[in-house]
Amino acid sequence: MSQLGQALADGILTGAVVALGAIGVTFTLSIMRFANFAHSELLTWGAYIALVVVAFAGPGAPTGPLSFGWQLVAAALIAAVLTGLAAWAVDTLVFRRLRRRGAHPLTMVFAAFGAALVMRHLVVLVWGHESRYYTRELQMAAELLPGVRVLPDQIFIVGLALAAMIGLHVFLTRSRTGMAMRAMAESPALAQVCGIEVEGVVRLTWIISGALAAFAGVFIGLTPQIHPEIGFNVLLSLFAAAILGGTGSLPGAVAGGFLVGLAENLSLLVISPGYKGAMPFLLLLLILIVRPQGIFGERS
Amino acid sequence: MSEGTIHLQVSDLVAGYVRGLPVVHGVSVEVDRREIVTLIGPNGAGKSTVLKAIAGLVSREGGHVRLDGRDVTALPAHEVVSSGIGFVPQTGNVFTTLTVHENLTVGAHVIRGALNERLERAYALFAPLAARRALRARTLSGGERQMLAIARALMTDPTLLMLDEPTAGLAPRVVEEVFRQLRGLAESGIAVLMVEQNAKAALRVSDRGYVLTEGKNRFAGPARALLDEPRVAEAFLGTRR
Repeated sequence: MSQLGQALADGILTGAVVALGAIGVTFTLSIMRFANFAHSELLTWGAYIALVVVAFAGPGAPTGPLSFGWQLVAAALIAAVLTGLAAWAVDTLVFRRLRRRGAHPLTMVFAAFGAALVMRHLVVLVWGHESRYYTRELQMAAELLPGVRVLPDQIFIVGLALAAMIGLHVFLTRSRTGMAMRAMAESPALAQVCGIEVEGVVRLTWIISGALAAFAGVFIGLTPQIHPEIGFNVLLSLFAAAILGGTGSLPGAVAGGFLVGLAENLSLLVISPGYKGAMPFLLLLLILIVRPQGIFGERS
Repeated sequence: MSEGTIHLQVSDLVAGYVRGLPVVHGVSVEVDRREIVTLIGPNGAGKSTVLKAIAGLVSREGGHVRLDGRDVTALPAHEVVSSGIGFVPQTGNVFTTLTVHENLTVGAHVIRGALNERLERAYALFAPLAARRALRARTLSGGERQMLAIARALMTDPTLLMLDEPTAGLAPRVVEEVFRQLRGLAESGIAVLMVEQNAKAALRVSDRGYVLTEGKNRFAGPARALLDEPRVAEAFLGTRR
């Protein structure tokens, strides 16, 4: 019983991080209309940008039960802004040029693979392969329920991830800019007829996707370490979550993220950890057979 | 706006989907305020392309589009709407994943400031939409969708409203209703330019018409005269005399 509880808690933690990354994937799929396999590298960049800030400011004195102070939260925010801008810069350097030439979506996907390799190796070039840490503070796991142990950092992460998702949902449904983004995702031609500037929406989409990816990267780095493959390691989970939830749907990416996280961790109860990575895809296959447009997807 | 200027003047327009392969080869069209003008012609005559070219959605390779004397030929699509042109495409003319209210809000994207007054005006003009404002557009009937598409295009107070086959797929009773609405809009001072397959019915509510074939002007004149012109009637209206 406590094993099940522990798997659920771990699944929710993994899920929150995967969901943050999957939101960017689903946005690029629906607004830029290609599968951005370089998205995972934005997680890595976010984690390392925060590492640079922490190197200057320090992670801060442990606050309450957390292993870090406000400095790390500030570092995550700075990383979010800079990673958002970096995502836009990659678009300007690579994807926008191809878009202007009317490139085939497959060309975009291969360009994304190329961009991902360059981005990952830039990190290796600067920081090397070894693992790094934001903080070396030890922290005590709290017993949430009998037998279910969770680090205070992890609870903080889930809370912050949920806050970011709710904030984004409010933005998309209440603000006129958010509505313009959704309009553009459905029909770029009609959005233009309404006076929406395509490039403006594209820029905003990259900035939001990059910022959320940075949060996900910092959160992965906090539990417990940073290395150049932290983004790449979750790449397939991000895509599984985005497609599971239904392309273009924010609630879909969030639900997909949590389902992927839970599938990975609950599977550990019955099968060897070696198969953990396959679980999201088993789930994905099932969903695609039953509901090809994904859980929250619109049938086209 | 200068007195005496024809509201919309399209002259020698060359346009198409692929640069270098135009499907419109020098079409000229004029529409004045308070006027309904219909483009008719066989499939592939370039009627829809003319509207899309004016809206900035396809590449314009020659000729001019002037609105109240101002050259709007080179404007990108998202700026055309600010110049006073509202466009209702034939298909995909509402955002099905957005609610009725959101569709109208997005329609007013270029308008800064509060939209309440404009939204209420749209609901007053198209009463069935008011009851459905919180519903997604995909749940609307064909007639309601068309209403929403027109209401959306009117959110910016356009001086020219363009509609691509506004009655396609609608029940006859609804077709009448759409044409009645367009007549009312023209009388309120808007210039209306539409493309219609339903040519006879469209010409009956129009002031003037143009017949296009193979991307060129073929006939032009008062709608009444086109309806009575044997060569037009036989070839393009499906009537034999």
